[in-house]
Amino acid sequence: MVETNEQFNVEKLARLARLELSSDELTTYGRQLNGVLKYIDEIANIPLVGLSQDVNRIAPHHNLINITREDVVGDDSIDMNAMLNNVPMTEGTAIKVHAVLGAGDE
Amino acid sequence: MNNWTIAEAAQQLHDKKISAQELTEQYLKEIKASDLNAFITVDETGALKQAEQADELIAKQQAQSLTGIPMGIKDAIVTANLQTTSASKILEGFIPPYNATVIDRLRAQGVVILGKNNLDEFAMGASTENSAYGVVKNPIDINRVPGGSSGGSAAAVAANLCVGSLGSDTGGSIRQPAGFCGITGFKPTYGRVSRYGLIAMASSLDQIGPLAKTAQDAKIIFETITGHDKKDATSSVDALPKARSIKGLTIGLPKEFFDTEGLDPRIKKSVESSLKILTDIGCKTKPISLPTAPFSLAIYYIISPVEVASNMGRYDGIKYGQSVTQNVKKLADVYSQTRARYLGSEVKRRIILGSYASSAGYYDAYYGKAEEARRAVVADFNMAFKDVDLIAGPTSPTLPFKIGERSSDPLQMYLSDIYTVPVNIAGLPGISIPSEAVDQLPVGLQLIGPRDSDLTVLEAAIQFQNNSDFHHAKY
Repeated sequence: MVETNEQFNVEKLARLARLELSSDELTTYGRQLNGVLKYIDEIANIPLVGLSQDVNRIAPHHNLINITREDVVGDDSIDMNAMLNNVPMTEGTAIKVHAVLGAGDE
Repeated sequence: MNNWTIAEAAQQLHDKKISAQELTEQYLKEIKASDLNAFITVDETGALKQAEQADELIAKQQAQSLTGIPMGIKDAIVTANLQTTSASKILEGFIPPYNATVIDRLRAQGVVILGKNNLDEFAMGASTENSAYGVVKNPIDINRVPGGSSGGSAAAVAANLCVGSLGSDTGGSIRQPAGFCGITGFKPTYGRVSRYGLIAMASSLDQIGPLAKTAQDAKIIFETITGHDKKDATSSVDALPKARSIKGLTIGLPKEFFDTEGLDPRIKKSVESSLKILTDIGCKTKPISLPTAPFSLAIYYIISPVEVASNMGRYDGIKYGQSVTQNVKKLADVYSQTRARYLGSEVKRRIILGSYASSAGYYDAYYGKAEEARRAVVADFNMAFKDVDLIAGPTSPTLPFKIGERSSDPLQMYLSDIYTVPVNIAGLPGISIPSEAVDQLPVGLQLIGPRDSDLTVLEAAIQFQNNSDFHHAKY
């Protein structure tokens, strides 16, 4: 029996994250993470009064701003064959994948 | 076996007392004889070829500060044509088709890359016990952990299996293992070293940095790898400010770093006597407060798992890495079974935690709140640095623990990072240097500076080491 509370459902989260976990894993991780959850729930108590106004809203820990670039092919593209060498299933220069819908799915 | 620093080795090479090939052969021999498990992959052929090239540069009087110097590289940093695993089974056999920018910069100087250092899987851990390629032993006491996640790098440098190494630091993963192994480890200001080619863990927190025998060595390595990189959108564009003289600098001592319940009193005493050395050489100290410090771990263990869950999505068995291709009915099964089979427990835990903290209905309460809290941490440091020039404290609340001691309780493991994590949250530069040993075990002293004060932090560490001997300690 997986230890869950209403909000923290390990089985559902594993499905969302595309992780097929065994029932032993579900139980163990559920137990271990419940301890961590109690710890991170402390975030609700952090004193946020008196925040400095000069702290960047988007990314407070650096002073960069978001930029755009022209969408052109660079001269330092990685060699296609070198990349294909690492692909588990190929057909010609294509990456081959299983059907999205299996037999029996509508 | 010699135990040269970078400058000493460079001098020997320059004076033709030894060739780069001979030096590399010596290190390869040491690695072969070692059972610390500090290396996942050793590139004997590649290293000797690189050493040959280095000897050519030296002969043509074109040597730079790192030419011919044998280094290790944490296996979270991609090296073209050399297996890169990030200590995970899912990348076993993965041969990167490109170099990380930091590798290109080291190789441009003629560095010899001996091999890839072991780490906690995907850089998640504080002990290197999460590696899918076996635990790394601490050379100071082989029953103890070297720290993590850059434990292989730290152990290798401490055992002189390489002159220096590159590690990565997301919540303390350079500084904490440096502290546990009695060496120097430096995490630069966020943005000062390109993350292009660093296998991403938490993209707003990760930084590559040096692990070395001395702060002077760490500085040499840092100066070689730092600099704007257009391939990293978070790379700093402005020039790095020069180092300030350390005479007259005020060092803040946060009460939250010294009065914590879990801090070993022997470590506190060691750090306090190191602070006397700093005041002897012209610094002042001042008590300060960082009120958000006690919440840093909670902030970190919300922000980083969310980013981890996102970054780990690419390991799907499709484009690279191991894959479950047999007996699957549909595409989603390839994802779920590949990830279940080939990712380790700590990685899975953090993916689940991150999925939860970013899920519909919980995003605001967790990730949204943590991002707001992050601003508060930055504001805290900004306030403190109005009054002081550097901040100091212990790197870790405990001495290096025994292998197996903390591996069954994730929360206990997370508490190792209590002093290092605020520095990543705020994107600041931080260094761990050896302080006085306690009961034959190393203690790390951490120095933190304001953003972009990397060279000042390094200078303070160098001056400390010029006036103390802890970095030469034999355990």
